[in-house]
Amino acid sequence: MNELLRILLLALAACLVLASKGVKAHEEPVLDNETLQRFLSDQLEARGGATGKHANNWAVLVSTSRFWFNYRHLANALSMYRTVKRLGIPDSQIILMLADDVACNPRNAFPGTVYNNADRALDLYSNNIEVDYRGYEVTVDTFLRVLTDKVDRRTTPRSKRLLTDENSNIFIYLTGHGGNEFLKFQDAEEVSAFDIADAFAQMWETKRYHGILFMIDTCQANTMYSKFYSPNILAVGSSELDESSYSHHADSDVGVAVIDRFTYYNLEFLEKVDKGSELTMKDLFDSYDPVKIHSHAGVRTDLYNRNLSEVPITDFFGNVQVVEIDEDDDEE
Amino acid sequence: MLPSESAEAIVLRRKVVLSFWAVFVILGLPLWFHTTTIHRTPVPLSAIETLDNELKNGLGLSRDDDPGLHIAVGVKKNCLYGATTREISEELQRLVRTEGTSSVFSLELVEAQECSGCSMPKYTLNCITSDRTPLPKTISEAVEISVYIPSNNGSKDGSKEIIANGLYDAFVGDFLFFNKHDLGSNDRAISPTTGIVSTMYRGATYADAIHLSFTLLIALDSSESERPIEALSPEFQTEWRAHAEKIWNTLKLGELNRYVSSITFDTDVGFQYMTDGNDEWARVEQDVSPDKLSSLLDTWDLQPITLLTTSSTSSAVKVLQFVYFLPPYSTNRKSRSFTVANWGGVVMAGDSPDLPAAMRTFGRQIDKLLSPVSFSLANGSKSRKVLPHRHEFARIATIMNLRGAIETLSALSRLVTSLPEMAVPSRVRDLVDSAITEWHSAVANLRSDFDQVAENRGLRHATAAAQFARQAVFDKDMMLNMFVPFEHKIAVYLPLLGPVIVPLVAGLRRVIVESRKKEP
Repeated sequence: MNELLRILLLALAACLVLASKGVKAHEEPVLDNETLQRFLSDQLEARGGATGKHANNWAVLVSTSRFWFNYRHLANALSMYRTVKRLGIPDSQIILMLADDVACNPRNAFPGTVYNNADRALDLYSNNIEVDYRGYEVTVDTFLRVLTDKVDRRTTPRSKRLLTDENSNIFIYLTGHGGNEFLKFQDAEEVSAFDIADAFAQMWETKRYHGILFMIDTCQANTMYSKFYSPNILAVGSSELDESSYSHHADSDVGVAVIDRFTYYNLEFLEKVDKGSELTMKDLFDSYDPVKIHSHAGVRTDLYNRNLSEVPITDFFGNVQVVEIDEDDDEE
Repeated sequence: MLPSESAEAIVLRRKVVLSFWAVFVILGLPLWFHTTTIHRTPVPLSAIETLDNELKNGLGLSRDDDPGLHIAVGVKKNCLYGATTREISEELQRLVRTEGTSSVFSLELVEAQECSGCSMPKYTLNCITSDRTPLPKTISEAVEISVYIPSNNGSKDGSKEIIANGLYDAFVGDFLFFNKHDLGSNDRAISPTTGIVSTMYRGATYADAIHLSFTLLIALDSSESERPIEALSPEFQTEWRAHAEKIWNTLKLGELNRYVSSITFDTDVGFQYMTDGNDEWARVEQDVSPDKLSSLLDTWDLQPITLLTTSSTSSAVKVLQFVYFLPPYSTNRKSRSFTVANWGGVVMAGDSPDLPAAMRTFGRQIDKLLSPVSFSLANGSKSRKVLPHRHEFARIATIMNLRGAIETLSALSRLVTSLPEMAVPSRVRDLVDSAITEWHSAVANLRSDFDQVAENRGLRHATAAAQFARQAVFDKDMMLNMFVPFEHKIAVYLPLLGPVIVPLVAGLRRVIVESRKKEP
């Protein structure tokens, strides 16, 4: 019996040793701020420096949650969808990923609709919704493949691909349930902060973006952007480590919360923005009020080499439209 | 205390234990290893790095395989003309093995700067055939002669100066627009990476220059208008030339003047009579002296622009026609301008205060209309816009594809190095190998000859290289999450395999202990 116990203990010790080795092998590299900045400046220099010039805008909007109780996450994503479309990004340049279809849920008292406010003034699920990935298509694998464009070109239509280039500004919005450095996808899997950081690194290397605005509304959201190391990324999160993100209000007829606080106050600001707006990203970030949001929204700017007060909000939420404006005002 | 076993039972137990271990070691472990290991086919990183360095240091695309003097095959048609140049012509013909003679409108001899990647200096002799008309409207053919002279590994034997001066002396007396560029000036460069000589040419001497032609078109308020007479006056001529020069000055803003080599002020003046109140404007030719003024129709029947294209049949000359239109006094005179693709544009002159704003727009439009190829010279100088020679288009496209292929492969190399958990399927290795092979084929074609055939062949290989590189880096199986990370393997597999392994280890140990007891 003693022998058996001894063997078990030995096996356990071996397990521990191997496990500790495995964890050690994947400890994140120590990247101090100075090294990171040097790396970033080298990267930017190789691409001709940091400029505000981009040629097209794209958006990737993801709601990762399933089930009726997560109605608000779908409403979050659809609200952003409506906003970027209003500001000029066409459907062909928006990748919308909705893990569940609450509009057609039997519990929906207003079938075929999704509202983000109890006043139900605006149906987010009305006409002209183009969902690129829905239901069980919304997975970590799909999300990362969309970002890196590592898709099967024979079976994936162009409308479902993120056809960006080195002149593209991309707005990436994620909402769902998450935790410290992870975000759940449909209660089945999770994407980690490392995964997204590596995906962005691949995007940068393959010249798939000019700038990225990464916005995430989930619990402990700020941890999700903590691992990024690629240039020209501006990241925003709804809450700090060990801090939850909260819903804003519920609709008693719908029966569940209809929008999250962080997204709600973002939208409140963005509703003031039109295509010709001169508001900047700094204005947006300054508008975050922890008292209202009930959490501490975070902004990561060290990867983004531009003065935020000079970055128009339409650089990410709007679309570039190169037109010659004829100021002549005669009848012709 | 365990009950004693029969000998058969012990043998059987041993066989069972050893069989388990055999299955575990021979089958289980390799299977576990195979299914949990990230497949990373080695990618030829050093080969990619070599190509990257080669691209940075210069491809050396000049001809360096012929030790003797030779003339490159840049000549499509002999351009030499005239008794004085006959001897030189024949000599050049003999050297370049071309045929025929025709007129020479202008000629330039420039010396390209030596580059690190080029083993020999390069002289370029550009000839433009024409009917000797001073104005370059009718230029229809352009050729280039490139003279490559071995420099004996860079030693200064003076041969290049001899030939350069000889050619200069031979041609300088005969032609009006000969410009000898000062050697070493900053208006030319040879790209170490492309081997292409990019030169800023001065004067109406170079085939790839842009020629702007302006025609004045005057609207008449009535058939009795005195504006034709007014237009003939020297004062008016002076005035509209001043306007045209204003346009010219506008065009000179930015970098546009670098490749607009000449501007021509035509003496043509057309008149247009507009019947106010009707839907259609009637064009009425005025009774003006035809030797001084062309008709309105003639004015608008402009010679089509010969675009700078890659077609071998088209000319390399681009002539842009512009009409400077003075609307009648009765209309609201607002300055406007618009460009017409492949043709030129119209400037409708209004009151002078708003003309500059209209011209600024016009300048930008013309800039787009000219659409020069823009690429940065790799010698660290500021990116410049240059108009390439016709036959250089294939070469530039080839170089761009080569550069794109290497950049893509370098990105792949960096990703493979920096992301150890990213799978690298064997297909990626094959694609990288194919890209490198095509890359070398393209460079070999560029080096082999300077004719269109070789360059087109090089372009095909370079395009294939770029495509293979892109396919490799965007391979759908080259993903981070395709396989389980190592710590997950430990965390998931050990709890599963640990309990299974305990009786195996215990049984093996017992077998070993028993065999040791028997040994003495």
